Amino acid sequence: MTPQHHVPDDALAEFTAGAASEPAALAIACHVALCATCSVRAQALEAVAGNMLDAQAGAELAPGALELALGRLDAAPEPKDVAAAPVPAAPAFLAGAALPRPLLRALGASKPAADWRTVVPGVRAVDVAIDASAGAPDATVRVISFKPGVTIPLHDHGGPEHIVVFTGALEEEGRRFARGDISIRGSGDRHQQRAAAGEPCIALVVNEGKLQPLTLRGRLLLALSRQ
Amino acid sequence: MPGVIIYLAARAPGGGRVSVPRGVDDRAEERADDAALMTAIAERADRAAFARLFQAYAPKVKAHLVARGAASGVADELVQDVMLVVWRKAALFDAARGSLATWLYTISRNCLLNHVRHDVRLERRLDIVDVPEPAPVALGDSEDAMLAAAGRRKLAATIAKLPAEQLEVLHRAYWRGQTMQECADEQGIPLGTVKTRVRLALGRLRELMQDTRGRSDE
Repeated sequence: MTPQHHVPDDALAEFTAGAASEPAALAIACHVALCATCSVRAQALEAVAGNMLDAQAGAELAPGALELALGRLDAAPEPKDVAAAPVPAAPAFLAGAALPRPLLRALGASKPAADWRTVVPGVRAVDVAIDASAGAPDATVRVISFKPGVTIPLHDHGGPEHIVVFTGALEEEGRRFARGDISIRGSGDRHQQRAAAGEPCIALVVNEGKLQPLTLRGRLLLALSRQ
Repeated sequence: MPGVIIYLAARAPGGGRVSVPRGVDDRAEERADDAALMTAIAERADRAAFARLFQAYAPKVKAHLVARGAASGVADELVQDVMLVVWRKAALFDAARGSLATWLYTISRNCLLNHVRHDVRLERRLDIVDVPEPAPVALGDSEDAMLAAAGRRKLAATIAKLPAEQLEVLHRAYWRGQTMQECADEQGIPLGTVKTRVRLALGRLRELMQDTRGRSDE
């Protein structure tokens, strides 16, 4: 099943321009890795960008730049010996989720925990470290496993939220987010989600602001999750 | 022969002028050359091929890094990184997937982001730069037409036909690395307007590329 929920043009433009925040970029990269449509869209936008590079007059280089570059080739491995960058393997407890490469790289760089940590009943998480200096000090980046049928009570967001689903599905307002689908929400977008019946829903959940629960149950759950 | 550049002046807040180049691609022959030079590097570690690509593209890469706010000295250092990545990863360049300029754009963007976000030293930085890797390109829609070799020349001409205000937001995002919010703030227009312009621009590009494709199929 190919993804049904995609990245809008303005967000994809920000992403391909390298202007998206690091947490948002990770989520969008995960969607793009799982979505043939958005992968081609992103490549087309990069072709627009490449065109701009090509159309520019160049800037003057430092004196001796070419000689310096040629000198550095001596220390570099021969081109034919350099393969594609290796992708770290997923931690064992995540091996079944078929995580996309951008997330595997981020997990590999962040020394993830060896197992899930229970956040609230039915919700388990593992943190993905994102460089806090990357302009998103309040961001939380987590891979979350939702037990089938668990609900996330009505809430608002203090900043952008990106969710990319890897297994199972999340449902909200009659829409279903399954493998590869991305949900992008911002401040003022109130919603309630439910993990679909069947297998657990494993998803990347990126919040660049604090969640703001709008129900008593939600506030209780949030208080519990911080203990 | 160098590319023809038509500068379009747009009024920036505070009375400054922002030059938005409209590129017209008359470098088709050089482009075929780029692929051959990359193959020479990948297969034979051909230094003369590398030197030619360096002279053609390193100044453009530097201009891009400076436009994104890198100081000249930092940009010079990053240009060296970008070009060393070109050497080391030459085998990953796939001419069927895009032009060398596009590949260089993504590498220089990623090098700069790594530098800004992680401030890591040279060798480590090279190891973590993401290089676009060959991927199958399915044919059949306007995006593919933008990527296919025949469509690339049309793309440049098509970009040049965009309305000035749409071209400017693309330029701010892709050339200067601005977020939609930064575009809005600097231009003194609402965020929604910027997003609309981006959507209209990309919609128009797809539409025009689709037309191109239709005609070339006849």
